[in-house]
Amino acid sequence: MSSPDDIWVVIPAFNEASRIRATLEELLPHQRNVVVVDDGSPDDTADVARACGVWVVRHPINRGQGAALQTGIDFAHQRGAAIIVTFDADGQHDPADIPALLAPVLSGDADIALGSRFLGTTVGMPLSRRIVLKLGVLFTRLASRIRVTDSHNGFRAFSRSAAEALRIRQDRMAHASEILDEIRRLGLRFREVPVTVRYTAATLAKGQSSWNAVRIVWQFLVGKVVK
Amino acid sequence: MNAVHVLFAQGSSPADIRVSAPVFQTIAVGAMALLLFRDLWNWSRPYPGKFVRLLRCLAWIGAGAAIADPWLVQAVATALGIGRAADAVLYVFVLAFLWVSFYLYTRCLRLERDITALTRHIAIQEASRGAASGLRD
Repeated sequence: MSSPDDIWVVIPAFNEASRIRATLEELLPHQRNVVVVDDGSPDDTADVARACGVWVVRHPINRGQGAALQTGIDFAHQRGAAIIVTFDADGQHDPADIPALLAPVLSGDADIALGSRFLGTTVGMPLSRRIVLKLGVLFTRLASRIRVTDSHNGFRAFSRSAAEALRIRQDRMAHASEILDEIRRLGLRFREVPVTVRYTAATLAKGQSSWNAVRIVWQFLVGKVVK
Repeated sequence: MNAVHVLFAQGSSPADIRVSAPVFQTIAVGAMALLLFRDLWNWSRPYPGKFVRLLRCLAWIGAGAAIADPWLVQAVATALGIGRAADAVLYVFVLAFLWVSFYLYTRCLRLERDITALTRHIAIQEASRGAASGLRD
């Protein structure tokens, strides 16, 4: 049985100085082991996170969200994490969902729990984003042959063994598709868990544009070829 | 039609042909031969590997043969149903361009992965934990 000390939350962050404090203030009452991976932000993301008392791992140069996630997972792994939760820095995720996300991994029913906004709740999600995400789900079913309802949700929980087996090689945004692809390839057991995703004007402004989906598909397909 | 045939068509004498026609071919084929020799000489070196070296040797031989006798390219184009030698050369260049582009892209991608691994190593080595200021730890 894992204790709260064995659970680590990994937060990849880039230029999140204005939001990371609020995210951590909301998260820290729920989880004590938190590592923020500052992906070479030119702003004060690392300093703000450090001031909140969490671990900060700082990429000297920007390498992308996928790279930051893997760095955080490696770090948590080195610190003895039994379960690793990935969480967005922009406050889109609700820390109150973490216990539900951990449940299937803690019980041993799944190696990985994947948050799903389409099984859960979305707040303020624009129609265009909904359409792009649904197309992403369709693409994932075709390309990776895995049936999920939300293919690009950064809210996940990995068992230690799953985090060990699964290596994220897609440095940029295609890592979400790659994780699902690897789950199928490695035969890992997964469970989708309803979660809440909250959109605000700020998260939408900084988030991926719908057109970026094309680039993500390209990166994912090339990454599958280049080993 | 290569320079030799042009000169024939223009009524040049065999003496003119001997002097003017093979100048470019001589230089280019000589260069190809040197490149081929260099690859053969370095055959056992580990980088870039025997497969790439073999491909390069074949490229030098092919280019040398095509330059030495342009009618060879014409014969190949005819045999492949392309028709004109110039079209065959164009197609080869298009395919070569695509291959080189993809090759460089994949090299770049692998280099990026190495940079990421190095960045990750440094970042984890330098991880630090701040003291909470007004926040529960």
